[in-house]
Amino acid sequence: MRVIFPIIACIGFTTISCGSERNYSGIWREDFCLPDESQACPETVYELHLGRYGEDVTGVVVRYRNQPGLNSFQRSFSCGCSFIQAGLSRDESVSFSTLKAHESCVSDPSGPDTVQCSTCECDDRRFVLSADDDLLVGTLYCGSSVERTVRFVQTQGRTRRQCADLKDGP
Amino acid sequence: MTHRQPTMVLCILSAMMGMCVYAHAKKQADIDILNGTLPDAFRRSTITIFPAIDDRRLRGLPGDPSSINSARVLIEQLKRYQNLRVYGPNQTRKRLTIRLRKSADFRKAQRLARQGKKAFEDVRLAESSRLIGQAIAQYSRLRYQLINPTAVAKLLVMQGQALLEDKKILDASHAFSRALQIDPSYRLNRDLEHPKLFNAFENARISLLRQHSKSLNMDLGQQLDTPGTKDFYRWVENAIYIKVRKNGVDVIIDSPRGLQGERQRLSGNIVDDMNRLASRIFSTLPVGTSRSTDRKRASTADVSMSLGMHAVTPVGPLTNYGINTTVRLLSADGFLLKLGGTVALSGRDYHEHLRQSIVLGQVNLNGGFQWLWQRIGFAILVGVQVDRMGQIEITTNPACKYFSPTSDVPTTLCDYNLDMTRIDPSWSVGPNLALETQIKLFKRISMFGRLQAAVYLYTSSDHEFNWPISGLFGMGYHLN
Repeated sequence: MRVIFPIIACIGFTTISCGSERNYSGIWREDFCLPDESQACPETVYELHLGRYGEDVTGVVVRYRNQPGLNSFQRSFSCGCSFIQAGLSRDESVSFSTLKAHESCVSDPSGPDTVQCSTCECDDRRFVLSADDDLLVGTLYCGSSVERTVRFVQTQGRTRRQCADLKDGP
Repeated sequence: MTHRQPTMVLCILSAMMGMCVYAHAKKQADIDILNGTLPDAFRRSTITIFPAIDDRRLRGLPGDPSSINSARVLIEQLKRYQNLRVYGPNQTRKRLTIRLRKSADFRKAQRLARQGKKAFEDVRLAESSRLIGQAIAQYSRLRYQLINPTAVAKLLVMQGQALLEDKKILDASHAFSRALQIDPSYRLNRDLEHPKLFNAFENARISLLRQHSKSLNMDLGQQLDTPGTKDFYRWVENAIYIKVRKNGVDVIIDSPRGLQGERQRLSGNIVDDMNRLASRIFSTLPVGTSRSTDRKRASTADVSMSLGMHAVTPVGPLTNYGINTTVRLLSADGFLLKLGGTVALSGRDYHEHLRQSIVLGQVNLNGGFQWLWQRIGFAILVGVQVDRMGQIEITTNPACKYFSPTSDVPTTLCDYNLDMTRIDPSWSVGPNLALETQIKLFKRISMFGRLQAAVYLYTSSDHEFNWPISGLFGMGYHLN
């Protein structure tokens, strides 16, 4: 029995190797400021680089300064990067918090450095998301208080594996 | 078109010569087979002996015990030939009865017999004679008269009675003669039957007695040649029909060589007489076949695709994919020696705890036996397996899986020194078991399928991998 079960399990796993246990891995960008929405555009938007292993979720969260009329998800607009911790995916939900960010923010938003974000990242950031068709929708928390609702769409690209190179590259 | 004809003729002649060589290529003379111990793979000729007919009963004698014994002694003598598998009369009766019950022709014969009896009772004599005649013809095709002679003789007597009352005297006499040939002990009761019927039956018996001693009793042989009989008896390789007479024993042998008759006169020593008769019967029968005649030494080399797995690992069942090459040496006795090598690369486990694919080398040395059936071979082998496994890196920490050591990931999330288990390349050795099938596709090309499993009894490092199992499928070339 000790041998037969693993054999059956292996055959089963081989046939279902593209199952839901890999869902949500990849890059998710915040979808914001749709024309029919009355909600104000946020000053900063998030990009999630997720890796899912069974029920465990890990990766990095990159914060960008929102530039109206421009594609904000360019490295030149990034203003913060955090490592995901305590990530968990069960059923169709994903939740995780972030470690304190590698960030660049200014206390005076009217200062000369327009690239930096005017507000610093919350020290206790949490994301609670769930799948909705092809989207991840949910709530952004700072500590225990709700900050705003968020919606992410998946995009193609290489997932970011570190925060140190935040300002490197284009 | 014409220039191809000589080539075609040469090809056909070569094929015919090859077939002739094949047909005569016997490794061992029949007499050598019989003198020595039969090889394990020898297939004996099966002989089906039908119940003997005691012709002495035709004379009204109670039957000479010595004559009855002669049939039994003959069977005993035949059983002494070790190349023959003899089914005696009782076994034949049982086997035939089972087969007859399943036969639609037999049911049809029974139905015709019932209809014939009913017509006789209703004094529809011509119809009764016709229906009974059809039933008897059907029974004869099935040789039922040899299994239950009294029942068939009774039908024939009823047919004879119907013919007699219909003023067909000669036909009636013929029916009575047939009834007595089938069951020589069949008699009518003088007190119960009409004198006209009784006398006609007795006249047929006396007439039969006068004709009888003149020549070898081929009437039995003629019965056996009934059209359609062969179809029902395809399962009978060789059949023997015995008729015990006053001064001898007649035998009809039905073998692939056709019908042959033998007569042995009784000299007073039944055992000697039957020994001589058995010897003559034996000489007319096929010796048997040696299933190992086409086996010869062979060596093959093959290349296979391998799909394997370690059933027990720290990360659950782990598959691997690779390529295998094997050399096999097969002796004429069926002993098989096999040396195989596999190079494989592991896949990833379900949770990706394994951080890199494992390079796997496998060497198997096995010995066992192969059984051949036509073009298909099946082998069981045991031996030893030596595996070489490359470096293994395992972690259950998701951050260690996602990030790399060059990432600036905080040690609170992943410490690559503490959260990773690294096992250096290692050797593992253990016994293994292999099952193998071989299908010969062409003269020199075979297809192989193997299933092999091992258990590690020694490992040079504590990697906790065990129970390697693999399935292989490939093509091989016969080196000789």
